[in-house]
Amino acid sequence: ATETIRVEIGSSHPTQNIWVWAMQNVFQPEVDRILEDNGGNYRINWRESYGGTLFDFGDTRTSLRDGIVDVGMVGTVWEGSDMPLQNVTYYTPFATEDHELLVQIFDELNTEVGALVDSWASQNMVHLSSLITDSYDIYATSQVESLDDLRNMRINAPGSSANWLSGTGATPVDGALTTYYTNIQTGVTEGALSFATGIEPTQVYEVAPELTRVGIGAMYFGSVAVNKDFYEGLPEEVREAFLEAGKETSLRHGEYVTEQMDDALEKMQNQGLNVSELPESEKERWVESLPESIVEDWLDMGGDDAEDLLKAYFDLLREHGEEPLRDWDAIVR
Amino acid sequence: MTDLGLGLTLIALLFVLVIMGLHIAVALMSVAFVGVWLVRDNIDLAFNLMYIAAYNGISNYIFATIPLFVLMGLLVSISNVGRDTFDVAASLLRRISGGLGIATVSANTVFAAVTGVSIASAAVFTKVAVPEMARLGYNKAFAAGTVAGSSVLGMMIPPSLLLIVYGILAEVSIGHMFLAGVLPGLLLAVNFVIMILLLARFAPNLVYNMAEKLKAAHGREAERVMGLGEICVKLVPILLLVALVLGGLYSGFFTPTEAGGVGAFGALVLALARRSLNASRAWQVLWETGSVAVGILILLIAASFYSRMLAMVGMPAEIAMFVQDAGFGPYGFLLIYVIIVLLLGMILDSTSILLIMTPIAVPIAQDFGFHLVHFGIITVIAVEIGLLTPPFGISIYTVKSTLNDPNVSVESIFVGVLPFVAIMLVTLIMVATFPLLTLALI
Amino acid sequence: MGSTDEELRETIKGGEGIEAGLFRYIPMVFGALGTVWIVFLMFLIVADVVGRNFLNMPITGVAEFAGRSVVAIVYLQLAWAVVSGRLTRAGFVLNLLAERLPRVRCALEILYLLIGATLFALLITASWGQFVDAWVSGQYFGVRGQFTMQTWPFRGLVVLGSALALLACLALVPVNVRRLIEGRADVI
Ligand code: NA
Ligand code: NA
Repeated sequence: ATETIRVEIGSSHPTQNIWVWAMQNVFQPEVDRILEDNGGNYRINWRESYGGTLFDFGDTRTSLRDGIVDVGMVGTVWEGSDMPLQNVTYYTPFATEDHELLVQIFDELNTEVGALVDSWASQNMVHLSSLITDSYDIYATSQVESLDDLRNMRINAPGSSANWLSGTGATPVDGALTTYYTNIQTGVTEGALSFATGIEPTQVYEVAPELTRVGIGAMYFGSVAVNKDFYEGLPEEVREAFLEAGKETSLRHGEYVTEQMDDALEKMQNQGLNVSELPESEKERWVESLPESIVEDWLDMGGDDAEDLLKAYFDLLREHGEEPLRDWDAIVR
Repeated sequence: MTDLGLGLTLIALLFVLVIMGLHIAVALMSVAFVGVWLVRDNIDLAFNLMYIAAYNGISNYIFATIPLFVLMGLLVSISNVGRDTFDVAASLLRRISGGLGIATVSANTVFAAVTGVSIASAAVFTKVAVPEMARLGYNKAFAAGTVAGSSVLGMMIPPSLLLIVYGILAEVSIGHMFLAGVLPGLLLAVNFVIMILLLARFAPNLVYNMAEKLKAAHGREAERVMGLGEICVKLVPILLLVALVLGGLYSGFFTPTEAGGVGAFGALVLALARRSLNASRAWQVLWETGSVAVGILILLIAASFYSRMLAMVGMPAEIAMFVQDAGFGPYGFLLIYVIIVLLLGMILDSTSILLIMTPIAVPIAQDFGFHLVHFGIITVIAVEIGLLTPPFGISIYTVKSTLNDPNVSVESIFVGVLPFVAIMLVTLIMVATFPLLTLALI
Repeated sequence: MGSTDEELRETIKGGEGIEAGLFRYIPMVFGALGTVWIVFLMFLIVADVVGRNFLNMPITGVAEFAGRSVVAIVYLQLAWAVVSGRLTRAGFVLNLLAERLPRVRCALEILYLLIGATLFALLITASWGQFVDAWVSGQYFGVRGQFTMQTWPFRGLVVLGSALALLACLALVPVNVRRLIEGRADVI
């Protein structure tokens, strides 16, 4: 006999969004498929609440912790206060531009580094699948040929990305993807730090037609997670299916971001976006100019756990052949 | 009970509680709490969702527009710019039959661009326009009706609290809602003007008290013609304020919240410059700002809890499926929706109607392929008709209580405003038929 | 001189909250704080707009602070909204009852006040734990190294505001009981 299990799944963003797409298009069908292949002992009745019908982006953590949904996307990027460890990438810029690799690395960190596993558990969650952004660059009204061009520029750099400008002489201006267009159009700012898949739908390239590829790096953004109480009440077979489907979700999410990024860049270039590279030497100057306090602030917040995580993260990067432009981990070695 | 059955029961319960006079915020939250508790059989979840609505949901940059625009509207209300605008319009239109009615509509149109609440418009122009119209032989009920009718422009033309509230509830850009309101607002004003011209021409008995008019006609020579210089002096402050707020919004220089802050500040400077603000008055304005703002914000908290409950029950999807299966089609749905809103408008205030209806209707409208900005403007016009319909028509009551004239009964104002209600319906149909009227500017 | 001067005075007079007895002064003080906060927010936004556009000196965190300010404004003023009868409601049926069946009208009012009190008690329950958590963990909003602010004062205001609103509901009960006994009800 088949037992039907009701699962509430939801998100603050719609399913076209890069972080949500794989939940509906990979995770759900994959769980269904695995359960079916295992003899169909269980069947999931998915109750979908995508697109913020139950909670907004500010509430992803609490909503999942409190069981408003059973499975959901948690944007740890918005949870700097309660889940500071997860934000390591934002305090260690210029580490890697390979977002597909970053997904794999964070799947490993999230399930093997004790402090991270505990951090999910203390929020009453079990991690399923890591989510990332493609690499950050500068979209601006003029091409950035050298670091000197950045001096005195006003640039939209929300949240912790403002730190990436410290040392360059640029003024970071708060904002969100939705405000960049008008900010730039009205001269409030002259550009924004952002990534292709995020910026393309906002049409910022119309007012900021110069993309300077800097390669500040891909960022770990959050995870698809399952409420821990709910998870522990599931039959063993279903739990296994969730974890396995989570891995597949990670993989396909990474691939999807690549596709979307390539599409976005092509579309924007067709619309007149001009792409140039920041010269290697200037990039080095930028990396050198970043103050050590960026990572120190983050370490202060996370204590020993943060040190362990930082080491583990950079070890994995190098194991996979990446050469971070700045050895942010040197401070704890 | 099925989720659909439960959902419908909860909506019915809400309607009963609200009509019976339970505070609307309390009714919305109580029903939402019970609903979540029952549908998930988990009281903790009800507490959690309630807190999300009561804290996280409200701690939103966009919501800060509400107190700021209220403050701006009240500050301009006490600084006499309404009277100046009316005086200029009256002087320019003095030779036209029905001219003062048109002046009232015109002054309201300009004033609407600096106030976000219709009640402010109604109060200001009752004092300014009705006595003047009565003096020149207008029927007092028609005069009062004109003020009440054209006061709806206050919330049609941006900035507008109703447009903000809809934008928040439907999750569409408030900037877009503001821009979308401009053309329909102007269209409504033009339609009002045409209607007054036609009435003055073909049914002068409705507009004028003929005996008084003849008497007044003899005093005509006394009318003063306003020079260009004086016109400028009177209009420049309000036009500057309009340019600051709408220009800032339209150019993208300000976010709506910033427009509210800068607009309120501009209004403050204006009020100070005109010496219309002493300490006790300033305090009254602030106190009133707080009261109006918190009244709306607490309703928004309650409504967001209620709409999350509906989403949890799966209500909008269920109703949408039902409506589609019933074969209504988009315009059939729209007709039923507008009728329900008009009926609610008889007994409820505008914000409450938006709060109760939008969470149910917007997902359905989206399924039917309506542009949510277009749908929002239709909704706001329909909701605003409720300001003018008995038994509860807040604009009528505002005019009545401000006028404080025992010879003008509430009933007579309701009659006087009827032509305006008719014109609003006509405009509603025009806007519904031509989406471009709302979407052209965004 | 000011054309809405009288209306403003009217509305404020209509909302003196006399029915709540001496208790009304407490909500009044908090309401005044909420009102001042609105003005402060206005000046802050203007300062940010000017600083960002003309002085190359944006004020970091204004948007986030403005968002939290809404919480502060609402909960500082909530009890006053209750006491002064400014919570929106449909008066249609209530007014009919006030004329025909004043005792029923009074009984309903008492029932509604008790429902309100219960609801605010639920809100206290919902918000207390979150306040304590935020206090203990030092939860903040903003970004380390840029601008941060603790959330507990704002979360605390939810608890405080709900508690005052609960008391406000209860403070309105006695006068309605008196009316019930005397069999007279006011039109709202
Ligand atoms: Na307006
Ligand atoms: Na009405």
